[in-house]
Amino acid sequence: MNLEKTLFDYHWDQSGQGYFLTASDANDLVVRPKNDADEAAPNANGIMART
Amino acid sequence: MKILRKANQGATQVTQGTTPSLLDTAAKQLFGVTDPVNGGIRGAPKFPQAGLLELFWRAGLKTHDKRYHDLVIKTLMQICSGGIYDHLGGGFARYAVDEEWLVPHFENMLYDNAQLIVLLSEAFVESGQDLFRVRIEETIAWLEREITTEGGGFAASLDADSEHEEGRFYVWYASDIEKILSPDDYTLFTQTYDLMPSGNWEGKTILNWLCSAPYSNPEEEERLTRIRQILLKERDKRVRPALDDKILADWKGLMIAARVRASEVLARPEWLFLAECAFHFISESMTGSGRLGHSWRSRRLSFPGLASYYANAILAALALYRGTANPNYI
Repeated sequence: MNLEKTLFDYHWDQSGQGYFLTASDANDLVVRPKNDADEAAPNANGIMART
Repeated sequence: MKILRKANQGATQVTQGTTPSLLDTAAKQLFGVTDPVNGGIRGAPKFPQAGLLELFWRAGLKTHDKRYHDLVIKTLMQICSGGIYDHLGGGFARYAVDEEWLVPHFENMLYDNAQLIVLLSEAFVESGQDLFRVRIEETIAWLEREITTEGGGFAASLDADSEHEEGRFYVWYASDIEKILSPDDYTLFTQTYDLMPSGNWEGKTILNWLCSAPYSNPEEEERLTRIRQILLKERDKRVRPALDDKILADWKGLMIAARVRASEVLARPEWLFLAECAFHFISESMTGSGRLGHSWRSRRLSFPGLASYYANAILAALALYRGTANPNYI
């Protein structure tokens, strides 16, 4: 699996910048959170900016 | 539903225009809330706040303002000496309820330990502080002994409670230790580890060396190592806190990257092996239909994974590529 491509295909916000936390085909949440702040563990957007 | 979705789009926009100077400003302003005596953020409870410490570390590298690295090193010294660290078994608890890092909430999370191993590695390179090297080694050993599950998984966390009591597994009555050790060893141990009959927490003792100077005497340190082994063996007879053995790819990715960094810094190539096993676990057992799963437990995988799982798996893959030069990781 190409991790970066799969992340982009299912999580990238096409209308702006950054990655949504949940996948585009996930139905568990009503809304798709997209944050840029770290919590106790780092945020996906921060990690991707670093790598 | 439509309204909710629309509201969400506005509310969760990733901040536009993050610039290097904005990071400098953030570090400068956040420095104002730090604790010059105990490290970390002023007041209690005290969480390690690894992300914040990393911000300060990077700010120090960038601005050459010595205060940033001094603060991170001070914080790590306190965390490595306080009760938030398990002085017998290795590993860091989630947070301390007091401002001196003495009384932990006795729960060990994979992500905290991963992030602290990375910070300790960077701090060791700069300071050469032996305490940091030993804490990395002991925490790697803890990871292998307590947290690693069959097939190269790293479990998510260790509970705080055992036998319906928080911290019971970790704390001591002075009288119990007195029974086990020789009088000389007992005296040395009490002087080093804040052990007294009245205890330092609810009549019991949380082992710590906040009040002693680490590694000041090699002969004593050798004796203390032997004493710690005796006590760890004794402690192993107790009922253990439960292991939350679900496996989350994001926390696991952090720990893989941490093991690689520590192995580079301390020249311990053998630490890469388990990191590689752990990564193979993600790419084999936690993957299906070209996607990463959410969490894995007892051979069951739920779907789909979160963005952080991919991001941290990428972080782990890049670290492993750096550590092994194996092009299959990229």
